[in-house]
Amino acid sequence: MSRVKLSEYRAKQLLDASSSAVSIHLDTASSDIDKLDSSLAYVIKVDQGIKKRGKQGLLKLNIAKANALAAVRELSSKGFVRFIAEPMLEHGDDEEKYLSFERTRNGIVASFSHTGGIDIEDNPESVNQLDPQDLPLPKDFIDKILTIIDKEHITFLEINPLVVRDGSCILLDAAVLVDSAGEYQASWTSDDIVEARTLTEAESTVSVMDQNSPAAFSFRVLNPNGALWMLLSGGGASITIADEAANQGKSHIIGNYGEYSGGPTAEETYLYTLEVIKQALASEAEPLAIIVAGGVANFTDVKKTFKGIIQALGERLEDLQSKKVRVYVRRGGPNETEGLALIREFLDRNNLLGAVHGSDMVLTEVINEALEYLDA
Amino acid sequence: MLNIDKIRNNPGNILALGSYRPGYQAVLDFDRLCGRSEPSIVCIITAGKRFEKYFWGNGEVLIPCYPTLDDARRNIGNIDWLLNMSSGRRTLASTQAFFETFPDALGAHLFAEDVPEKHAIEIYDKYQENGKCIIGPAGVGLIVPGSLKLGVVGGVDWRQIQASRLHLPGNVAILSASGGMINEIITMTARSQHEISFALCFGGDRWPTTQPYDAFLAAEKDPNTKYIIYYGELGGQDEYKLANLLKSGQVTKPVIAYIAGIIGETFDQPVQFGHAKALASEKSETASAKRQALKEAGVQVANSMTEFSDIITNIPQNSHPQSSDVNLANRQHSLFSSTISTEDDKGYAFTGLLLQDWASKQDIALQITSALLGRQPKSTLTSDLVRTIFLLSVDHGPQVSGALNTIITARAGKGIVDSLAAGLMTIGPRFGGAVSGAAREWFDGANAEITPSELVEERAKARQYIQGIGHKKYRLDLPDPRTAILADFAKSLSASQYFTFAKEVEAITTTKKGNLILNVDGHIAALMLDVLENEEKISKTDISRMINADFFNALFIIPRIVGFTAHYLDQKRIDEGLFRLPDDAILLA
Repeated sequence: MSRVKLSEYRAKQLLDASSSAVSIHLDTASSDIDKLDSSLAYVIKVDQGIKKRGKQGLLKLNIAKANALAAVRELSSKGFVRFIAEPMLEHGDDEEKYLSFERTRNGIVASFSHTGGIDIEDNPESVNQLDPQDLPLPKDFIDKILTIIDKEHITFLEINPLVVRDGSCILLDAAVLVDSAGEYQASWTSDDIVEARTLTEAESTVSVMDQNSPAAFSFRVLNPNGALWMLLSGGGASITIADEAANQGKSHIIGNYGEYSGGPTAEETYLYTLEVIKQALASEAEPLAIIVAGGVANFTDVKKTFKGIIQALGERLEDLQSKKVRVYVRRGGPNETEGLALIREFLDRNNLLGAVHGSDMVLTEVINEALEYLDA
Repeated sequence: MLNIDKIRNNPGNILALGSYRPGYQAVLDFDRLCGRSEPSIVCIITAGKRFEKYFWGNGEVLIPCYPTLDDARRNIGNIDWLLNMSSGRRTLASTQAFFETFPDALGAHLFAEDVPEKHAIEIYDKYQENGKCIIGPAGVGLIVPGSLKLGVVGGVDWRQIQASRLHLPGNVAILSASGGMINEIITMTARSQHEISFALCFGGDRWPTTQPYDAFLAAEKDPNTKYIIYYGELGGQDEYKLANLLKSGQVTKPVIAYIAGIIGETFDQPVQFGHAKALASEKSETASAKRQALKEAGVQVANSMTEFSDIITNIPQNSHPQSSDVNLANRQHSLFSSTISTEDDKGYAFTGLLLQDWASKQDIALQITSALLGRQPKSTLTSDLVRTIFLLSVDHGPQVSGALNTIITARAGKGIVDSLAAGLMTIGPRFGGAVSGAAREWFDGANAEITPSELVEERAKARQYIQGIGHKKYRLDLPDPRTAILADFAKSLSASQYFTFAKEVEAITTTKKGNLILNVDGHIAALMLDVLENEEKISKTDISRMINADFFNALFIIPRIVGFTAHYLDQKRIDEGLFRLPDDAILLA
């Protein structure tokens, strides 16, 4: 469904069967480091899909096995948990080349530069786009990479620097984006996908829900101390509603972005809502507003999903009341009238009612109502 | 390629793949609101069901279900559209299979999210580039008001469809990346008293098969469309292509647009929003940059939804909209379904023909054949065979078990129902009930492409009889006069693969033992299989189901009821009194 980043460790495993890279996780650092060869010098890098690690000090050069744990500890103090260790390869800057591939509607397009390395972005004119078959690199290497790109649903692959020595290609640094929808045919798994930041508990719970359901769920904390929390439905409507807060110059108080769509069950909506509420209640801001909104659904049942939302709100009633939470609702679609009546009655009875609207009001108007409450 | 006006005038029919009841019901409700005389969905590909029952207006209709596309083609013929509701993993393979089976189809809507990029591009290369119109994946489809609803676009509740007046053709085209927002905009447009010329959702994936560019050109070409409303999002470069269409004069109709995602510009790092494509990794992909490009090309770009709504409200109105007064609120599903008979003002109709018309035909065999098939036969050979079978199967002596049980029961003083029941309940694997068994032998044997000698060897090894082979009395040198007539019938058939197979089996078994001949049951089964497949053009899948339903045994039961009735009435005339077996007739072991 979307492009996600593989760990560099997994990327190297896919691209080079003889890779001697070792993956180090903070929790299992000692036993992971045991796999290193004490006769070699290593480079240890943060392996969480972050660009420009060299410039940000997220890698350590020339590390012997004995010093590896200390190096990992130092890097982890910057908030990271996943690392990769690889034997150092002595090479000259002039050997560094840049190579990337991207999946496009017209097939796989390659980009290549004879002058690769960390300053590639300063020399965009040196990078040429070309057909992979025209690359000035060994043909068997290119064919192998193309086969792997196809088989592993790779959508973007960047090797920088690439060192070509005696006719063989050495991948010093590799970044790989894969198509998450292709996981079922690929040899990587969702465990190999890295996030540049550590997920909150609520974010990871929702991400697991999303993987296990035919419906779609997403949740991302933008400001843990935000006052405006979003329980939105629909990929498009959710952006449009969040846009309105930005229009009003209130981006900084938005707690989260997220959405549910694709006809979730009442149970799933209940679980999702619990996570959103949990995160909202952890905010230091007071009062809070929760936006329950979406467009006019094509097929998601308003009554069914609202039952799940009501159940979750009901479980945290006292916490919500003590934080002076108001809930603002706007939704349309199948069983709209029944669903709206249900939630209005519940919010009103429990002193949480901000406003409840159906499809006869402009989608984004609830944001303005909620902002009025928060500003008052 | 997408030609809206052509679809409007000739919407065509739909094959639905996968299970999605509310979505299919909504298509039928739309059809009905538009005044279509027949449902646009003509069949559903799904396993394990013969039909699905849907509302058709306030009444009901059975939509046939087929396990395979081949079955659908055989039964339905041509299909124009595929409504593909299968999962992301199955979308490529099922779409390919559809176009292989229906090469003349116009196009498809692919509903699934999670279709791999690689597959979406393959579908694009193979079909969109070759003149098919593929909408999706990860969208809600296409609706041409008054004509075609291909997908859940416009809603799955008939009230939504009616409230948005989607049964009436209008002049505003709505094009959207988002499935939720397209319906939001449809509702908004309808509330401001406008009607829609067509609404198309590209879907939120990175490689939509029908792209905004294609849809804009289709809107320009469509004579009914006067205004274009476009909803786009951050991510991708489509809006620059659209801007070029306007600047170069390839699109001249007024365009109103909202590009969502300015929220994305308030974060340091690019954020992945709900749709796969909704990620701006470069400045040119941000909502602001794309809004600017469209503005420069002359598009009315709204800065907020409120403004968007106001601009839409101000579109000049075309005509006074008519509302629909159809009310489908109180319909209920029936408890039973029947396709055999109906009753109306003209009288009772049986398999589509009024009883008075049956009477004027004076053909009982034809009527019984229709009863067996559930419809009028396609070939006169079928009722000729039924007539021959019945004339030969009415009775074969009072000694046989079924007749004897009828006779004993009649002599015990019971009435016609009990006496017939006693006879009928005797019918089974050893008496009269071997026609179905024989049909299974010939059907499986001929279709599994095993040779007759392999079948015989297999049965011999397992020490099993072959149903339809063997007779107590008749043998190779003492032929059964009934089978001679049946064998003669085979000569009038256009093809006789089952009869040939059965005769080849007989040729082998009779070399082992003289009485292992193809018996009456075996003849009836083989000939009827040939007639059903070659004359009535019934699919193998359906024939197999008919065997399981004991269709073939009915060919014995119906005439034999006549025979049993004859024995019952005969006993009442003779009236010998209660029967008791003589003591020496039973061995008291």
